[in-house]
Amino acid sequence: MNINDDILIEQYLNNTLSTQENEAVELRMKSDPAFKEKVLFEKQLLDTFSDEKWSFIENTDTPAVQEYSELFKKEKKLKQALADAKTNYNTPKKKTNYNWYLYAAAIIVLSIAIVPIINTSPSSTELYASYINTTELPSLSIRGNENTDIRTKAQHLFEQKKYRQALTIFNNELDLSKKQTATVYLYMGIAQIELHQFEKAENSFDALIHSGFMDAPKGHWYKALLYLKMDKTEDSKIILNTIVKEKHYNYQQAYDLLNELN
Amino acid sequence: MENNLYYLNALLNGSTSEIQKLYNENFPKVKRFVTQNKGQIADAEDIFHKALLQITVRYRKEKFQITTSFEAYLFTACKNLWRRELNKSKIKVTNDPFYEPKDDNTDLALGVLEQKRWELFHENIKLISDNCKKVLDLFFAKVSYADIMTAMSYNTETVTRQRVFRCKTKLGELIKKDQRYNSLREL
Repeated sequence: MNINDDILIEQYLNNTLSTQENEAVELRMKSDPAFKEKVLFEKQLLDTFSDEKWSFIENTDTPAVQEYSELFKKEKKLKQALADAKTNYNTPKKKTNYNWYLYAAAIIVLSIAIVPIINTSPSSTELYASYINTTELPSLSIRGNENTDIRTKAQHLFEQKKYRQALTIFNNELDLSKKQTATVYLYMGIAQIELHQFEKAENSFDALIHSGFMDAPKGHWYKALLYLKMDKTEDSKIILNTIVKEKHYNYQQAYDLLNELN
Repeated sequence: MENNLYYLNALLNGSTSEIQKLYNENFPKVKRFVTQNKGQIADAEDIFHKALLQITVRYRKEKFQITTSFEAYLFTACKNLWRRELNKSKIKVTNDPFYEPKDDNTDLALGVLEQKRWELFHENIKLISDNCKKVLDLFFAKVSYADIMTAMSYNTETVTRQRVFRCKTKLGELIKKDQRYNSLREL
């Protein structure tokens, strides 16, 4: 492969080609098997060595897949052994005859002695980092949407953590009056958090919450995370309690997060 | 490693007491990892079972070598399977057409082949020069050419691109020369 093809393939896989250039690459893949193999191999490399992606098998109907599938079918004994191990792992151990008072006293003494030294409770910023998960955001690209290219470009910039450039597109080039903007608000808000534009992030999530879109409740979850990032733990807890109570988006994670904050 | 054989044989034979010991010793770490990465306990259990099934079937079929401790290998397999699950949800959202496993066993089969490819690629990148590895680590982490240029003290972005290209070509050659590649290239 020459370096020009390499650059072309890289741009193709990064969705940075124009529609016409993109079509030309896809046409060439159809007529040139060697070129197609290069594209697929490059994609495998990028997906395998990315911390966030995974390289899936595209050809799912091969003898190797069928052979392994048959082997997995035969592993009934192991499947049962694992199911049993899971049950026994979850079963609480039988109570033994120990002196509760003695144990309780020992725990209290140890807690008083050790807790100030090894206070490992995560900070609100650490909790934010632990709970924010951009991999679960829906894709911005929508088939048949007139802005597909620009949306793909914005998503790509976002994934590369180029939040400022992504925001420029969100703010200037996307029509926020259209229906598919719930996801855009999420991307905007998170980008703004990452750039420490907290007030703007709050506005984005509020806009989503009051938008009436189906995804509007997601705004509550991300606003709670925003408050965590801002170290406004009590405000965050108020929203998280509402999420749990109303069973909004991510209420189970909200419950876990509340436990960590309390 | 003796310990590895102990667990592998227990899995091959479905030995309940050894499997329980393996479960009790290794599941907590996997549970912690999955639940800290946006999963639930049920997800962790699913991943843990799939990883053990994957290891067993592979070992039964081809007696592959585990070069680390069994525990470390199992944990890596679980991390990869969880990354795979997270990406599967993403694909479903984007409606990409290719990922439609027929049933659970087919999905397990795909997982094992993808894991084999992951190992092939990761083992081969260790064989390239330290300098190339540094360049590719930056490139695969999506660091811009300008920043790679600065980090590696290259003179221009053109030189940087050429360097990335050469290192990637070298890595590709090593992977394709590896005998395991032939059985995976059609996938």
